[in-house]
Amino acid sequence: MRNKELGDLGEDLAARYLSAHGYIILARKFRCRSGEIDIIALDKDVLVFVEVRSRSDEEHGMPYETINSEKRRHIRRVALVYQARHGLLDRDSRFDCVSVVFAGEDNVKSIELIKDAFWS
Amino acid sequence: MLAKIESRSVLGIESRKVDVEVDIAGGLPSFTIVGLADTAVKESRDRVISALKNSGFKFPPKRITINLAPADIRKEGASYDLAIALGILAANGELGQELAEGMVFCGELSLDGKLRPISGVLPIAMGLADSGIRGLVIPRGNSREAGLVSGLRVYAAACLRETVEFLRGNARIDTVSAEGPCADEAPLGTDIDFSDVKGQWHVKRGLEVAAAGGHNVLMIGPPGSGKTMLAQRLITILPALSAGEMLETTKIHSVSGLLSGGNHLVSRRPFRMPHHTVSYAGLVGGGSRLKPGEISLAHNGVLFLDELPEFRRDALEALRQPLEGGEVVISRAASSLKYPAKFMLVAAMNPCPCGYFTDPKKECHCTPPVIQRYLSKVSGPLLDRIDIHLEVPSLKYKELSGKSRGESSAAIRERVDAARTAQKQRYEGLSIYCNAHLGSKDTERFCCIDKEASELLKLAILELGLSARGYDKVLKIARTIADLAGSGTISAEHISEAINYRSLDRDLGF
Repeated sequence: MRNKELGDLGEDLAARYLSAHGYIILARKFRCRSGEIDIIALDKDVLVFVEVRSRSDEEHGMPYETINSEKRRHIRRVALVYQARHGLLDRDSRFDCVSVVFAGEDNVKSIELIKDAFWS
Repeated sequence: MLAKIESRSVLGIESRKVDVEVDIAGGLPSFTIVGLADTAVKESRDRVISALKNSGFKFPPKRITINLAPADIRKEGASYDLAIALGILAANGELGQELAEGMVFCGELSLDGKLRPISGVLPIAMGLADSGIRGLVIPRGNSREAGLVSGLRVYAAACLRETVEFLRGNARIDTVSAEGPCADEAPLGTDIDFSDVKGQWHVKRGLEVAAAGGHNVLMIGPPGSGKTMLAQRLITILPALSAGEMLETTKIHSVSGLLSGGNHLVSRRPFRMPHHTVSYAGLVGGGSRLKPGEISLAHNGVLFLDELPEFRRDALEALRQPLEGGEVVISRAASSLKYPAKFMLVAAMNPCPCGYFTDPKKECHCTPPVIQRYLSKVSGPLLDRIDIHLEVPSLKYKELSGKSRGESSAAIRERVDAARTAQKQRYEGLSIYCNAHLGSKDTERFCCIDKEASELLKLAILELGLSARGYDKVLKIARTIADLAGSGTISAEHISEAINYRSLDRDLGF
């Protein structure tokens, strides 16, 4: 399985997982000049920006460990763009992270949701 | 929402009001602290987040801005943690803003929400006394220190949760009862006493005179003659600290963070003995985070400089102004601070680099230029501020092995106390409180000598080469000796003893 396919599959799974947990998905793969946010959703009143990370196995560390400070900065900037475009700058917001670990083809080992994963 | 909580910062040894303003707004979650805060204050963000969560409060994922006003004074240390945490709760609507009105909060939070003791509680409490505030909340570890102050209600809290419940009216925190400063029950100097020192009668008498008149002392002698031992025992014969002096000295120790454990009050005169490698800032105060130096820590006590010529020249020269004025002003581009520094200087040195120049038995290997260079490290202006010079000879075998013990510190202190009382009465209404601080005009006025004594003094100037500078000093020392003897006028014997204490004015043969 190629990396892109793995990532897309992971995002689909994450979106389904979030819906099942009461999130309302507003956008997928929101893109602007600064970068991309995988999923934008509403958790009750709070606007949530979700980064999905997928790994084919756990041998090289957990997926969420790969969100470094630069990635956070990117996400933050894109989040501001989204808020600005939709007039939501004052809305309570949060950054969540979903990490999906596969064990071989199509075989999901674990899905983990980390709420309030980081702060700007 | 906006909330405002009052806290205090310490500048020098005074406290200033600091308002902690917290604004919580929607938007991307962030946490910013503004208001000229240093690293320790910026780090309080992580402490506050954890402390709030671990105390069972919700931490809002919102845009939080903290302002420490006024913005023009530097904020240092972790003592704003408590105020910041309460501000966040108030701005978040978990704690009514009116509940914290008129209260002042200071304290460092640990990650589990407990309050850790901070430095500088005494100046904060003293600054708030009789100011009409409803109360001061401090960490429990600082309660005894704050208890020295009366005229305000102090609440010593153990943790953040307790503070909040107390403000909500659900819990009680007892006010700290004001004890006021009182001296230790244990008699002064149980561990060290003047009777420990064998022989050296002349030096002991010299130190007694110094203690009685507040004179600065320089001891010169070969290694191992007991200079350090004698200096350490000087504080045991100085009069006890008054309540005001205790508070002042404790304030300085509080700001420096030197009060911990059971030691909440400096009740004995401090004895500071900095190593000769001490830096300029370490001695007079300063540094990037302005802190009191050794001379301020020795306030109302003794500053002992062992191996005087080994000290850095710039550090020694910086002593001149504090020796004169009793305080030190540290000026920086951003601010200038004043620390009190009223201390008795006791210095010790060898007569030459090898140390045995004045020793009758051991041979000295130093050449005259080497000795000259060694002695010239101590500058004239500094020597000028030292009244009493004492030669400390090495002990003879007979004195060492002898069983005879000298006078105890308590006996000497009685005489010193009497002499100090006499001075206090004489200088009532003046800003002088001991003989060492007499100006040249005052010397003329208060140090009247009889005819015989003036003859002797004249002889000393002519025959012994006593300098003009030495003249005033001799009079002042003689005044102290007369006070010790309970005599109103200065007689010849007082003058002759005083001349003995000016050995550097006479040519020692250096």
